[in-house]
Amino acid sequence: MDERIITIEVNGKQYRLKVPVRENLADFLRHRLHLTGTHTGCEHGVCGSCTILLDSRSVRSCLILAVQCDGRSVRTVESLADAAGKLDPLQDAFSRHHALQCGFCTPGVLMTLVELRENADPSEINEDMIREKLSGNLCRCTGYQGMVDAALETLSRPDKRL
Amino acid sequence: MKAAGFGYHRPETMAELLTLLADLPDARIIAGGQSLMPMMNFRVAMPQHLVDIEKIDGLDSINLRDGTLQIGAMVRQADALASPVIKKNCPVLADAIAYIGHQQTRNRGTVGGSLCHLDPASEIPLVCALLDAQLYIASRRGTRMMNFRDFADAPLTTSLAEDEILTRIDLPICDPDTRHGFGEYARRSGDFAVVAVATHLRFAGETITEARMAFAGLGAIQARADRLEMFATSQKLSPALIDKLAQEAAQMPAESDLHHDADYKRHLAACLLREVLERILRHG
Ligand SMILES: Cc1cc2nc3c(=O)[nH]c(=O)nc-3n(C[C@@H](O)[C@H](O)[C@H](O)COP(=O)(O)OP(=O)(O)OC[C@H]3O[C@@H](n4cnc5c(N)ncnc54)[C@H](O)[C@@H]3O)c2cc1C
Ligand code: FES
Ligand code: FES
Repeated sequence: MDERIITIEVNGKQYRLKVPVRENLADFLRHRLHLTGTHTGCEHGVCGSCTILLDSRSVRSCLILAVQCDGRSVRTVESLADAAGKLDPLQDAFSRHHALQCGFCTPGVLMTLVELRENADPSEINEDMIREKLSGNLCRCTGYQGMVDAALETLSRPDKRL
Repeated sequence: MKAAGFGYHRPETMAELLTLLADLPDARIIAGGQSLMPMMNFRVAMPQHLVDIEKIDGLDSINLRDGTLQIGAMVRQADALASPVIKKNCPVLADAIAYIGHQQTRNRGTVGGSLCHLDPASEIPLVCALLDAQLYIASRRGTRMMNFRDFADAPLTTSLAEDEILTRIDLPICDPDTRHGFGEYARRSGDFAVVAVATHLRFAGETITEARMAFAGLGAIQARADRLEMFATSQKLSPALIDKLAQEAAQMPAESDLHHDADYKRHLAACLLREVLERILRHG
C-alpha cells in the first residue's frame, strides 16, 4: 500500500503522520485525529456534511485526499467553540433559532457560513446570498428557515435582515 | 464508497509531469477532483496511478493577449467566477460558471477539469462550443492546439491521448458590438443542467451580423445550432424573430434520458432561448 508522511495543521495544531495515499481527508480527520464533528453522508460530493475549511476555503473533505493536504491548514467544526465550551456566535444563534434538529448536516453548514463570514462584506450579506451558499448543504430536517434566520442575525447588517 | 488503492504522484515541474504521463501505466491526472474522486469512491474509476497537477507552475493564470482571453487549465471555477477580467471580457463564461455545483465544489473544481471530464450537461464545454475555444495540449511529444469540436469526441470522452494534458483554453473576447446570454434549467440549484443555452450575438446597429447559439443537455455533446444561427443572421432582433427562433428550437433534435424525454427538453430549450434573447432585447 502506498503511504506518505504528511504535515498538516488542523484547528491550529500541527500533526505529522503517515497516511495511506488513498485515504480521504474526511476519514483522516475522523479515524486518525478522532475529530468526528466532520460527518460523511454520501462520500461523493453531494450532501455537504463533510464540508471543512482548507486554507480558509470551504471544500468537500470526502473529495480530497489527506496527502493532497500536506503542508496546508484545515479547520473543522471543532475549531468554533472555545476551550471552555463557549459557543461561537453562529452556533449560539443556531441553537436559539432552532436551526438544527438531528444535527447531521450542521457541521458542514456552519463551516460554509464561516467562510461567508470571513469573505463577504456584512453590508452585502442578504437572504439570497445565504441561501445560495447553503445550496451545497443538504438538510433533511429543518427546511433551512432557522439556519437562514441565524445566519442573517449573526452575519449581516441589521438593514439586510428580514 | 472508498477509492481503491493507487500510486500517488505530485510532480513540481511540467517536464516531470509529462515524463510521468508518458511512462506510468494507467495514469490519471487529478485536477480539482470534483468529478474524478466521486468516480473513484464509487469505483467506477480505478486508475493505477494518480498524477496531481496542483503544484505545476503557470497553469492557473488568466490573461488577456492579442484579443484573446487565455485561461489556464488549473484556474479554479470559484476564481474564474470572481475574476473581473473574465466578467468584463467573456461575461457568458462568468454567467455559466455561477451554475456549476456549489461554492464548495467551485473552490476545488477547475476550468480544465470540467472540459476534460466532458459531461454532456456541463456549462464550461457549452461556452467552449459556443465560442469555438482553442485548446492547448502538451505531452512529451510536443504541444498542439485544437478546436473544441475536435476535442469533444463523445460524452465523457475527449480526444486527448493518455500522455497528454490540457494546459490552456483560449476564448475570443466580447467587444462592444457583441452581446452574450446564458440560461439554464436544473431540478435543484447546483445540479447538472437538464438543458442549458448560451448565445453570442454581434450587432451592426440593430441588425445581427453574427449569431451563435449553443445548447447543452439536448444531445451527446454541447453543440451550436446551425439552423437557428442561420435564421438569426442578418435579421433585426425583434419579438417576431424571437418567436420564430423559439419555434425552431422546439423542433431541434434531442435525446431522451432516464428522467426527461426529448419533447420536454425541446420545450425547455425553446423557453430558455426565448428568455435569454428577450433579456438581450430589453437591455440592449
Ligand atoms: C455536487 C456536485 C455538483 C456538480 N455540479 C456540476 C454542474 O452543475 N456542472 C458541471 O459542469 N459540473 C458539475 N460538477 C462537476 C465539477 O464540479 C467538476 O469540477 C468538473 O467536472 C471536473 O473538474 P475537476 O477540476 O474537479 O477535475 P477532476 O475531477 O480532477 O478530473 C476530471 C477528469 O478530467 C481529467 N483532467 C482534469 N484536468 C485535466 C487536464 N488539465 N488535462 C487532462 N485531463 C484532465 C481527469 O483525469 C479526470 O478524468 C459537480 C460536482 C459535484 C461534486
Ligand atoms: S460526504 Fe462529502 S459531500 Fe457528502
Ligand atoms: S438537522 Fe437533520 S439534516 Fe439538517
